[in-house]
Amino acid sequence: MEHLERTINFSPKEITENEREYASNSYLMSLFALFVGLPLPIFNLLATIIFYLGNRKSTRFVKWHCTQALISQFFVFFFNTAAFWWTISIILQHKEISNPYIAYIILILIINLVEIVSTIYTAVQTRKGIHVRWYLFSDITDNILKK
Amino acid sequence: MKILGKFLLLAVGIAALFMLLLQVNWVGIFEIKQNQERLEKKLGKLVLDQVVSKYEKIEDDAIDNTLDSIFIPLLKENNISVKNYELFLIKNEEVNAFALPDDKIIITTGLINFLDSADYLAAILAHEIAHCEENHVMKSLVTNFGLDLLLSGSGTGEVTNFITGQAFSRKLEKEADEKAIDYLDEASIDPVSLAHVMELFDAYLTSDTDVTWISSHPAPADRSKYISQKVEKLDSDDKKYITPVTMKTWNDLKEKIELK
Repeated sequence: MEHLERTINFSPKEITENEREYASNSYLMSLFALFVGLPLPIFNLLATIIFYLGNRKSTRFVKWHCTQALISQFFVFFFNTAAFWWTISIILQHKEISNPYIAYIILILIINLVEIVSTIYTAVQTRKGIHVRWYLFSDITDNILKK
Repeated sequence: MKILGKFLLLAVGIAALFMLLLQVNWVGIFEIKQNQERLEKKLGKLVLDQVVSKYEKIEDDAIDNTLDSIFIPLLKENNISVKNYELFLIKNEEVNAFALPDDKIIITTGLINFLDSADYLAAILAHEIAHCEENHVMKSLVTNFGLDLLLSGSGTGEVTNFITGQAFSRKLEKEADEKAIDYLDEASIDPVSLAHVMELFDAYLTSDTDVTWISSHPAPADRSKYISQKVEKLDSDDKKYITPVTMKTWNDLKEKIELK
């Protein structure tokens, strides 16, 4: 995932302490839930959705980051869910552990690792009021919030 | 268009990474098969140690010889490696037989006392061999306890209870019954014995006898029915079935066990 730091839309000076905290928390929320419900991929998504819904009427900066965090969680959720059900099918249907399965699990680990590192980095930066735009997800966020 | 382009680029990147990862023989690198075998051996030894610490293992050359006369032909005639298998007799009044991981089979003195002929014991052993050959024990352990438990090796008490209870799914039991018919037929032991064993269990199921072996299995009447159906389909019109040991040897075995 590529990170492009821009302060075009939001200037740190204009962002209040409260906004910084809420925006940063939207990323931390998904991290916290990820570690709590690690085997079940739904928890981190749910936590982010709840946080997103709670901040729908917040300021533009907070809303923007809640949305970016939510979209990134949807992306990871899609991959993690596939891995979860693949594992369940191996356990319940007595399937062999194959090369494609291990390759997919490694892929998932890489994606999750990138996601976790990016989330921590973004949470730290937004706490400072710096606007961090993620590859693809930031564009989708822009599109959603323009409407 | 900008979003679509980025999305496609990301999708292609992930697909390329997956294709790259697919080129590696992960099963070989992580020694999946060898680790599974090691785990099976470890679990087999662990559960056997627990069973032996709880019940007395009967070791008597004469008894072992008779049991081997019933057990070994079943393996040899079906081209199953004898050296992998171990049969243990434990002192316990329960009518029970169970397969452990790593091709270990345990039968109880209660089972020998309960059965009227060596054919019936052969039928039960064939069923347990089928569980071992089809790797039902490990499959069921993975299903019931998940990979975490197996890999960490914790909760062995539960694993032992599960194995001695032998609560396999109906599908696996049917599979073992059907395989047992083939094993018995191949070893020239009348496969109808398996159906007779079920009838015997069915008759005693409501009695006071502790028939653990059958209480955790599908209904014996149902099993007897599908076993008889499969036996009828066997092409063995000209085949002469033999009994693994004479009635006298079987009765001697029961007497020796009673004296233990």
